Amino acid sequence: MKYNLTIIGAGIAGLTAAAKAYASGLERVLLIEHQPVIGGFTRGYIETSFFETEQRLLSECAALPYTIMTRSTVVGFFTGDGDTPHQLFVQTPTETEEIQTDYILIASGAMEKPREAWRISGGRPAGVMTPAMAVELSQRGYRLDEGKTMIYMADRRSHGAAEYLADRLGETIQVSAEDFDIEHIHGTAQLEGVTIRSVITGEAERVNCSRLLFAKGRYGSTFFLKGLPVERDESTLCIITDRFGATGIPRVYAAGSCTQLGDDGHTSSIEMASEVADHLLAKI
Amino acid sequence: MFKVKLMIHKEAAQGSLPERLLCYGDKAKTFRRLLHYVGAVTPIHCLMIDKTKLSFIIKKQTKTIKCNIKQNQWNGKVNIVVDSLRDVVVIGGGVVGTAIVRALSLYNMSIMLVEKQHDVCEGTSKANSAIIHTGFDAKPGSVESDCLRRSRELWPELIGALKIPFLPCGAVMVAASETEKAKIIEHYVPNAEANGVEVRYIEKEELLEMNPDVSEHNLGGLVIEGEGICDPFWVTRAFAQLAELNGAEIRFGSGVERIEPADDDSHLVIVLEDGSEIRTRYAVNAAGLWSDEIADMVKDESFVITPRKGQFILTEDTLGISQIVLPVPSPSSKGILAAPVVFGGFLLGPTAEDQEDKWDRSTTDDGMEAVLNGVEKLLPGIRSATTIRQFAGLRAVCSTGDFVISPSPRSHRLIHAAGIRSTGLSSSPGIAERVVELLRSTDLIMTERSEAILELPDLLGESDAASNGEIICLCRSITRGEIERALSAPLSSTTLDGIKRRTGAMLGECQGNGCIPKLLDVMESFTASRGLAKAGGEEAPLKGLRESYIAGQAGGRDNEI
Repeated sequence: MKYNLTIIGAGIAGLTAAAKAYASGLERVLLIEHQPVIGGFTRGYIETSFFETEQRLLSECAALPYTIMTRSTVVGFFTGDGDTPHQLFVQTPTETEEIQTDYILIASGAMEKPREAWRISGGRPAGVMTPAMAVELSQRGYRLDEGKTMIYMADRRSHGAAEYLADRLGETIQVSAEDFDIEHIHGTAQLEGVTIRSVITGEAERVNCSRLLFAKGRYGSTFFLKGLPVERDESTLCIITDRFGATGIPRVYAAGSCTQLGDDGHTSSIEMASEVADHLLAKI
Repeated sequence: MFKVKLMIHKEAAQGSLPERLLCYGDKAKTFRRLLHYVGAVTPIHCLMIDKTKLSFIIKKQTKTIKCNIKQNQWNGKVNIVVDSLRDVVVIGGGVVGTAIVRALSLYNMSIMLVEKQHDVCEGTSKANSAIIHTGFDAKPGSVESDCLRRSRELWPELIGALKIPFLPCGAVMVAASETEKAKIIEHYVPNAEANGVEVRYIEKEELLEMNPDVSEHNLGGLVIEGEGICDPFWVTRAFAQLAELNGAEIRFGSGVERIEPADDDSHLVIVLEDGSEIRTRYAVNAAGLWSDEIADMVKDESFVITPRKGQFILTEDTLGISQIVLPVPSPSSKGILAAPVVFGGFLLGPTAEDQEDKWDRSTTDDGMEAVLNGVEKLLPGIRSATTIRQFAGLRAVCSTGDFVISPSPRSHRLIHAAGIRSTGLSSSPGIAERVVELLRSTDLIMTERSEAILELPDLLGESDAASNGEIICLCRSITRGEIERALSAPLSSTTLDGIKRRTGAMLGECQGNGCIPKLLDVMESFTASRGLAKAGGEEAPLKGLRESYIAGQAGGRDNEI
């Protein structure tokens, strides 16, 4: 299949761009989505109060006539020279599809930076997870209500998760990222407690709990770009773009939290994708 | 539920060789349970053919009988020797225990491995520097140096036969001062020669050429070409898989509670935590950190094991080193080193911290600092490296100062393979060889198995089918097919850590947070479709260790039997 524009990621940034493309009359547009449903990182907490704008966007996009390949991942990326199209190999649940496309917009979003990235000392027990993982587990019917849960409130994602999980968790304790650092994890098989340290007073305190929802910062979901001349930030894996989303490869753009211009709470994704899409669509 | 009516002829029990039914893959556990139920307690083999049919090959000396099983119907006869007395039970599923059980599986014997966790390699074997040492620095004449010497001969063939990921990168012991250089020349060179290991001293230029990140202040170094890096979990798993393919029974999830010698000294009775009793002629104590507690069960207090923690930092940054770079060691540790990792990236560590708690594998800020401080002496720029993972392992430090590979002074039926402080991975084939020799000198009849499987079949390779290639783990591009293969191969494990170590999923930047829910879906549908039991019969998903519940299963754990 040959497309004018392929959008990698049907999250907030990707859908914003898709809606723009549709408004501009562009016909051959493809969206590729790793998850079974569109919505990107918000799909767990879209109904919570923190994501009203995103909710509107999702309902607007429900009727887009573009092909959306879900449960699909880019596994090969060969850039085209001059006017020749770029070539993508996309793994679907049943086959590897070859896609030809003139333009690419990478809107693959970001994953939460877990405890390991922050060198937090202690054991490696079960029960330490990111807010998104907790939401996904809960949506699958796994119970998270036994014992006490500590939620590290770092950004919109943890607030969304806290609201979504409010009546699915047992006792909870919310710890603000502005006030506390997570210092030590206690427990061997199962989490037994967390030592937090106040950034204000410098005092440390052990809180006994059997679950910790922690994430701070993000990793761009850009693993498929390994080996390509797309510049990425070493510590966040986010794509380095100019303000119009241009990457190091002609006709390949990026927008949203997978870029260094995005943010951990994905608050700027809609605006950024909108601007990048305008710029990009003017060229097609 | 899969129902089978079995007809078992107990009168066939007179044969001198135990007949076996190899059992792995689909429905294997159901079958084992059924056969246990009817009183057939020999190691069981079965070969999976497809979703509805199981084929069994039962070897009775020279005669082979093939039977088929269809859903709800059994249309063959099985003759099984009912002999619940095993020849050897190996206690402990670390690299030492599995190396021993592999070596024993090459003989016509009834053998079993018991491991208290739900997978092999859950202790010291999983958290170490992954180096296969030559033993250049071992004390000549020690049991350790003998095991290392034997292993040097055995590794090349094992690496090939078991398809072990191995990096023959060599090591260099760096001389930071004239004193260290003198120590290398005066002590390590003659020591290596005494152990028959080839070494050569290189000057600064060559050192820096091979390892540009090494500090320019160093004077040179001792190159040990024979040292290399492997995947310790692969080694341990492959040993156990080969043993299972050769008929050994591997039993997870229940530790040894006590050992009772029979009144007439004809055998031992091993009682597991779940209450089951295993009668065996001999037992091998390969319980690592807990081997002194196993010895204690026969009132043997000849050695004590204390844990010594080693903390590590894993970085995926590119470092300018092509060899294992190590300092001149201290008495307590080989020192903090930097080594390549077979999957890419570099491992920094370990510390050497004596402690009492055999379960405390926590990392500490001080430990991380000690690692960076140590590595900084070798590689001055290391502090700018990023890390995706840190971990700690515990060495089993023995009060005797050497490996204990001998029958217990209190029971000749319990053979120790204990006190393996530091080079257990490297010396495991040699330890196994010595244990086999010890058992051969007993009254056991050990004839070599004529059809023993020596090479590991390709069980976990790349999934070739694009039709099952949905990417589940995004960071590492691990597919549904690869995960399903790991679940269906011999020695399958349904803990997340088990899947991680078999496929590489969850090892990337997100450390599993992105893919664990999807992995649970894959495992759920796969185990349900094949009627497989989950680890320990648990409904709640396990991370790795016993009791390490990721979450409670819907409906809660309380309702479980």
